[in-house]
Amino acid sequence: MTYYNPKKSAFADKEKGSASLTVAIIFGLFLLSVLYLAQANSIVAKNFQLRSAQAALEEKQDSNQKMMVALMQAKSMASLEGAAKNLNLVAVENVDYLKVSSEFFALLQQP
Amino acid sequence: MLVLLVLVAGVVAVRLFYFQIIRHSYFTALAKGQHEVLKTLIPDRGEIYIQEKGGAWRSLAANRSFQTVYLVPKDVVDKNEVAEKIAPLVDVSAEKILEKLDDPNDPYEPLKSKMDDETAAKIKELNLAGVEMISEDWRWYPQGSLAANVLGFLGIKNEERVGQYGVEQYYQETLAGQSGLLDSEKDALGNWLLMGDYSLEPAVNGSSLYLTLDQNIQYVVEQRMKALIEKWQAPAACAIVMEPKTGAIRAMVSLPDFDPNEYRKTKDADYFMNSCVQKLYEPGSVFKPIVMAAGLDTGKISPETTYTDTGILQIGSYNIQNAQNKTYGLSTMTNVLEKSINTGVVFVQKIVGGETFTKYIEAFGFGEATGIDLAGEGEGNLKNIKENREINYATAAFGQGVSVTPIEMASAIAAIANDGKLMRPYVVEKIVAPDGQETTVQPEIIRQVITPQSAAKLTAMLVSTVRNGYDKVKLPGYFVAGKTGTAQIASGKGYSENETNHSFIGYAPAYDPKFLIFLRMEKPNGIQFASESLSPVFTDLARYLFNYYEIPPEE
Repeated sequence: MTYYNPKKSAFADKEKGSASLTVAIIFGLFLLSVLYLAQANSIVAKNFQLRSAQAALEEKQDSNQKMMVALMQAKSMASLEGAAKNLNLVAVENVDYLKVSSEFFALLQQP
Repeated sequence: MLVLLVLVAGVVAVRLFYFQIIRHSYFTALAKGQHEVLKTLIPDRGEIYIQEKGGAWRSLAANRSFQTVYLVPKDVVDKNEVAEKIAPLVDVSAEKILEKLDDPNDPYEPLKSKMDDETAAKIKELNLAGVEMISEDWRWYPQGSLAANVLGFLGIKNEERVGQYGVEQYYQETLAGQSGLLDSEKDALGNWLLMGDYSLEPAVNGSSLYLTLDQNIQYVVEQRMKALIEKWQAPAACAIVMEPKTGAIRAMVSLPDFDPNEYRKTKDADYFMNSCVQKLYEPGSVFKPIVMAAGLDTGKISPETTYTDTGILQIGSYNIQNAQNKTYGLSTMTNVLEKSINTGVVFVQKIVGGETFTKYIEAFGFGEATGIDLAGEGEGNLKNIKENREINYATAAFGQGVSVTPIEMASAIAAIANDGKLMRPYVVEKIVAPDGQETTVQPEIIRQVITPQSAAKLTAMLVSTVRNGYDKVKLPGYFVAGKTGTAQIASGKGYSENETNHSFIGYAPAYDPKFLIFLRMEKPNGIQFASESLSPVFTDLARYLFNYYEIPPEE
């Protein structure tokens, strides 16, 4: 009895390999596309976050500047003079200085 | 048919050549402009600070955002409504606003810059179409006109913001910093793509200046000088408070002054000048201590040297006389200063000799800039005494025929106060870079003009001058050295009969000086002598400084 044992031809192997490669490439491309989309999405999200952080920073810088301006105005000489007048403060005219005599020092040294 | 095709192809080829070759750069730039941002980064200008006793620093010049309001005529719906509602807020007439709105295709018409927050908020509330606002950074001087003539201002020159006058001009490069450049991609809305490719050359901010001026002293001196010129209806005045041992300027006032925030509204460009360093004048009798310094230092006279004043001195065809034609008879050199005897200083000048006299004047720094760190410093004019004429030497001895700047005069007298050492006056104490690195300015000795012994003798003579010469200087317990000057003003070939310049220069405590005060008032009305007009102000300021520096009386 003669049996026919069909052998796998080289051509068939090649075809199968090529199909796997195609699948792999398609899968790879798909994966890359997904990765690309994810990354693009993340970049856009980060861009948005940065922009809103920048806006918040600008807002804070603005209010900080307003406070600094108010502080500088409050500490200006014209403003201080006005405040002094309102508080009925008067300028110092004559100052009496206390003189510490040497005898005073000697007394301190006594037991 | 073929000809037509060739013609069409030819036209297409020519157009392609035109767009791709001839206008290549234009379209490249246009394309680049659509997706790239090329932006010059403006650095922050360095700030300027003034000091206070105790080591505190207060801002004199800062950077601040202001709102600028502008019109977009093509977007305006009701012109009359805009003009009526905006006019009172921006201080521009309704007619002028209507003029600006005339062209309906005009995309931009600036209306007012540097608006305060309150007005900006009111305009915003109106919510008018075609009225827009943007935020712009401007220089801001929180103390208004305080020390304005030392500061100068940030103005616009050739469409660029540059410092003009004072330290703003002198330290322009230090304050300005260096601009940077940003080249990056932008999105469809024109916003910078933060995650895109970019090339960034960051801007370097300017350094900040910390002045030697003291806020309190500056303010008090300004107030007193303003009251003084008002009282005597004088058109101008100047005052300097200086530390003789270092040359540090503690106050410098030039009147009339201006508000650097509103410099465009200043009536006259002369108001921007700092007369303390830029204006020449004939000093009059405040110059006499310089002659005495030459006499003492050469050993030709002592404070006790006597001479007999006959009230008149003839030099060639000229007669030299004393003020009010007075005659004093036998007088010592100290008396010469006390009574401000013109013939007495001519006597000293003569025995010193013309050449030596000139040498001392130059050694005291007259005729050359002091080197103060302020823009546009002038230098005195000694042309007359260089002509080697006896009469010119004689008149120079009592401060006529030579012109000096107030800062030259103050520095020269400060040298007498400082054991004969001439110091370079300066207004910036330290410069702080944006990275915090500090550069402190060290006091600089220019030269030793006279010996410490001569300086001490002259100080004693000047103390005697204040005690016996000026009854209006009342500072009991303190040794104060000083000299006044009432100088005639040159007019044509002679001198004006009625107009004079008044000066007072003094330092205290005389034998260990902490401050020197120089005062000058131009053409006062209704008062004849500086000893009358300026002595009360000098007394007032000296008393204030004794209290401020907590200097107890010496006697």
